[in-house]
Amino acid sequence: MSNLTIPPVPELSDESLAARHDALLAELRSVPQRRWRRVGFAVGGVSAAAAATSLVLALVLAGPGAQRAFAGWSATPTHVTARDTAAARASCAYSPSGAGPDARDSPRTRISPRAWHTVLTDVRGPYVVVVVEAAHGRARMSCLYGPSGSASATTDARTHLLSSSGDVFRVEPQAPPAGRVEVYTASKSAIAGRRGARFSQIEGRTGAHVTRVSVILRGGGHIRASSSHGWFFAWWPGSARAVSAEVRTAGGEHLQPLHHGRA
Amino acid sequence: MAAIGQAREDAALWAAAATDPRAFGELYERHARSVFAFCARQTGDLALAEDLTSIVFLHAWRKRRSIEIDCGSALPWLLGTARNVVRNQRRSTWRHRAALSRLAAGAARAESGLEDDSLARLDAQRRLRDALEPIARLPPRQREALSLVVWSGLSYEQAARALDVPIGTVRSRVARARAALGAISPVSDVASREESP
Repeated sequence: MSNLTIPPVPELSDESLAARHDALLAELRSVPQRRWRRVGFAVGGVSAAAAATSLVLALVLAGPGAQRAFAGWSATPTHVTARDTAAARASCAYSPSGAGPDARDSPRTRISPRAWHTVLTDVRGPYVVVVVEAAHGRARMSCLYGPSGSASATTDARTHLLSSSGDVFRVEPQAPPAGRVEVYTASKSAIAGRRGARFSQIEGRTGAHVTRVSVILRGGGHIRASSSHGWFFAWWPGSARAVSAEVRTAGGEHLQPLHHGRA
Repeated sequence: MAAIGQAREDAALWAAAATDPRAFGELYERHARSVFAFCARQTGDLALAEDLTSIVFLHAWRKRRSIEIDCGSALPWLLGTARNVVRNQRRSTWRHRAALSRLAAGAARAESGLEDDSLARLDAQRRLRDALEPIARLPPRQREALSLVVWSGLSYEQAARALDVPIGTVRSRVARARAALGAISPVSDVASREESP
């Protein structure tokens, strides 16, 4: 390196600075009442959704700790309400970057919260995952909401953020061939502060004509994914690996091995 | 570097900020860009830099009654605080996560009519990281000194206050950083000029 050039930092615009100035003053004025309380959420890692037939087997694979930690979870997505999506999306997009024990996994570029839009919502009992994206699909983030603590499965508990993660892509991942699926991310996470609360997740793209995706776990668990906007997502308690997908199209169903390397 | 007139105003504003958030707001408007740029160049992360900038000013607000601006401009103290916040970034962001969330939400509401620049920011982030790649190999102390003196425009004396080290230490760190980078560039002349009385 022969040149000591100034690393380029985009300047905050006057409008942006004014917005932050106003937000800061509002915060400072509210401090005496609030005293910057040390409460909040545990941040971990999650992303998008799938279909399921063998709930019992999936829970057996998850182990007793995970069963307790995710009481009420179902292997098949349940009904999504507008309330689920709206509350989760707003909160997910406003998560501060760099916060939490799994901050390395959170999006490293703050994108204006208004730029995010929901691409997929996955509800399993009292648990809601919302997947949001921005920058024409080059930035994605997802958040898992559910009951706090050992948890009774109430609807209100769905607004408690358990885990979040995201990524920024150089290019938007391309769709696989028609009738196929392709894994984009697959990972294992744990919810901070909750003993045994380990879970796994998988997110990928669906090709044209795919109408349903189910993920099959090593050992036989069967999780139906949620799918929308050309993506599928599923998560399950425990750390069993997803080995194949049952892909349904208008022409029937076929089994496809899943390769976990990033596209 | 801050002009003398501005430096006087800084001290006055800092004193006024003890009781008046608007005075503190003026300090923010004056120095937020510099603090943000410093944090961005130290971390290579624009989003994190925004959060750290907010933390620096939240910290400044809490310390406003106990800190005296003794070298005219508030910038050296702010950048010195920024350096500490960057060093403890994980702890800092976790500790202030609730305030950061509220600040982001508030800024988002205020920005709701503005043009979406998400793509531009992604590209800017990438350019910044590319540019910082060789600098990231420097020891943190040299990188901080280089950033304060060469890119943030502090004099050696101000950088010494910001880093809480003797002025000779700043000089030697900057010199070692330059030598390590093998850099001779127009911007390095800025610091050379400021070194002169």
